[in-house]
Amino acid sequence: MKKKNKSFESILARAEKLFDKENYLLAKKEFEKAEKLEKQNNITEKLKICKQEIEKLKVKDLIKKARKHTKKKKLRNALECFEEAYKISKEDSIRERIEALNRILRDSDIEKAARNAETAGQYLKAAELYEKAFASSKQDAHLLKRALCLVKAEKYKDAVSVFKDMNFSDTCSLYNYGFALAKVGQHYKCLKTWDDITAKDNDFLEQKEIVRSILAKDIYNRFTSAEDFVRLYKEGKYLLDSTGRQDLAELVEYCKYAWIKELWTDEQYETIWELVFDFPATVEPALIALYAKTCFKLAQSSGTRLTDLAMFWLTAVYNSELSGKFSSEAKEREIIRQKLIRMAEAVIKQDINSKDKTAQLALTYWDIDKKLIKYIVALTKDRKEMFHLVCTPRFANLFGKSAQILRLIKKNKNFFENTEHYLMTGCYYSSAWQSMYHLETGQYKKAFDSLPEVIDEDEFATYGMLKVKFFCGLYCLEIGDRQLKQCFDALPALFDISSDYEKKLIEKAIESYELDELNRYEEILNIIHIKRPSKEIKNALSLVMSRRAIQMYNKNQVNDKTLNMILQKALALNPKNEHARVSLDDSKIELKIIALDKAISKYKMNKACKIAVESKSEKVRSCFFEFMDYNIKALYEMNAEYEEKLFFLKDSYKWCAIVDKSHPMLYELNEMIRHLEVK
Amino acid sequence: MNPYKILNIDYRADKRGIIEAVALAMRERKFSVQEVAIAQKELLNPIDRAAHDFLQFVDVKPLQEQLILSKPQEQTVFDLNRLSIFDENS
Repeated sequence: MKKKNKSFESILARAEKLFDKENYLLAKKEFEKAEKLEKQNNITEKLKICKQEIEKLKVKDLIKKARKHTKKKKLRNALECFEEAYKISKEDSIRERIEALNRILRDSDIEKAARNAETAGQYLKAAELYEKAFASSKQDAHLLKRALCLVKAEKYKDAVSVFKDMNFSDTCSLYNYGFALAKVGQHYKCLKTWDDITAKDNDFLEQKEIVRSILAKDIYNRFTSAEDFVRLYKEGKYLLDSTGRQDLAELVEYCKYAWIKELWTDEQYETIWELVFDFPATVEPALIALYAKTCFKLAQSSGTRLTDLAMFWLTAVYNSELSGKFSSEAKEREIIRQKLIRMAEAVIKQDINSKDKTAQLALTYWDIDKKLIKYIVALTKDRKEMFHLVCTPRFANLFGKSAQILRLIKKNKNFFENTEHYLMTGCYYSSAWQSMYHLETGQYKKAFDSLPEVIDEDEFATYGMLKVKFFCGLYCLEIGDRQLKQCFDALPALFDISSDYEKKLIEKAIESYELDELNRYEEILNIIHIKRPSKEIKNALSLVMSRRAIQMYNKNQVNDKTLNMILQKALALNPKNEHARVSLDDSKIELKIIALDKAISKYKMNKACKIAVESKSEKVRSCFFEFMDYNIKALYEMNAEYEEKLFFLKDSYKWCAIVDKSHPMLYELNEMIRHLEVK
Repeated sequence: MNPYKILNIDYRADKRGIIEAVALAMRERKFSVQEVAIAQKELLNPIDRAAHDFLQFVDVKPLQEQLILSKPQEQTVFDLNRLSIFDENS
């Protein structure tokens, strides 16, 4: 083993080497040895640095240890390490850590004490301790525990004041908050809080039921002392909705109307509408008035509820009980009614030019309803027991009056101008009412889709169905939608009710000129012709057929023969179809000319002559002579033999004479022959 | 336009009451002179007034009167005892 050099220089050199390698612990030892041998300022300085560096390392080590302890939740051990480190370094950051740890340990002690108090049943003490813990930790958990302890200590008011400002969703807090609320008499709030608890524990459900009973009793007691109706309504409605108990229903209804009165004064019409929107099965005049006026105010102020306004307003102003209050004089009553009608109409019309189509739609509804209600008024005239039936169709449907009104209409069929008038009026009160409104507003698809599934023997709904199908059919014909071809299946029945529909369809068919359109009309007219042949339909079909054939011919979609065939068919349907007749004549001429051309090109002159002679058309004969003229002139100019030319000219003369003995061409030919013979 | 609101009167107001209300409304200047004048004109015209009487007021009394207000069914209400089933450590 190599012996260490104990000379001053070698010790110092070793110390310096260790110092440079930052091994301050060993460097310090060597410097101390060297200093014992010889005191030097340089060594003292180095020793100082070594001591400082060693301390730094120690602090670092202690902090590392403290962190490890913290991780393992050994907060006290961590605190010891930090304290030791702070003794050495006096660093602020370490001091802050020590303070924080002390706080946590203190809180933990308070919490522990609180828990112990809670376990021991000293809830008030526990609540106080949790409050202290919260003051330091600012953790909501401590506050919730405090509230819970207050409930356990039966300090319900204090518990409520703690819970009310907090956000929580755990079942324990929800239950205890609700319980405290119930204990301080806030039963409605208690139930609302407990509604967030999903647990279905029997004891809990029983307790909830108890609170409901207390609330019901409480609502009644407060009601008799004429308390806040809004609150009573809300609480009562909640009970009705959540339990279905009906013993409070009328009381809640009473409060609702009391609230509505307040809302009316405050012009809160939206809220009123929400309250009355749940329409009852039967409706009293006062309620009709309320609906009508609320709709009027909403329509006036915000342009909403326009179609509802039409439904309720007309029903209200024609209601005998309500209008009876307008005036005791019938004449004056009517004037006031008309004034009210004009007022509502002006409201509907105020937005008529806006982009939103609702006003236009409402006006159409209004016009329909205005017309219909007058018929019902006339039908019930002087029959007091029937007055309650005076209403618009949508109102009748909503409140179950439609069947009675339909019976009234049926009984008074003679009142109406004609069958269609009778059916149309009844139709709006039938199950097809919705389709009819859509139809009148031009919503064909909606009208078709909303047709009632079952119509049975109902003449009014059947009429509605036929009418909707007819107009949907016309619409489809116009836009080229072939999907709704079934619209025309039952149509002949509508034509039996009124020939106006047949006329309308024919008018539309006659107005069509485009090939696609003609195709569609021909198809539909054919269907109708098969099911219900009438002279008018036949004539229309004949015209559409000939028009379509010509269009197709012009587009080279059919040849002469087919064209001829179709035109003959069209003429068979209507021999007076001038369009078909003229077209057919033209077509025949065309065919003759083609045959003539064919015969001449094959030099079958006898056949050509025969065609020209038999054809009564000047055009065919002209064609024949044009051809002859061209050929004769061409031959005459040719350098052919004299005899050959003469032979051909004589032949030509013969053929031309067969066709027309007095044709000027014969003189010309004669001249040519004579000229050649003289030569 | 609600002439009753403009003139700040109720539906029982007579001719004299209306005229007095007009003077007051003119002084208060809450509504324009034209609005006040129209309100006055409409309320002094029996036809217009009847129309407004119908439109501007709601009468809920008939609706309330038809209701039968009965005491809710009495149920034996037991005292509420706090349940521990929802306690965290239960």
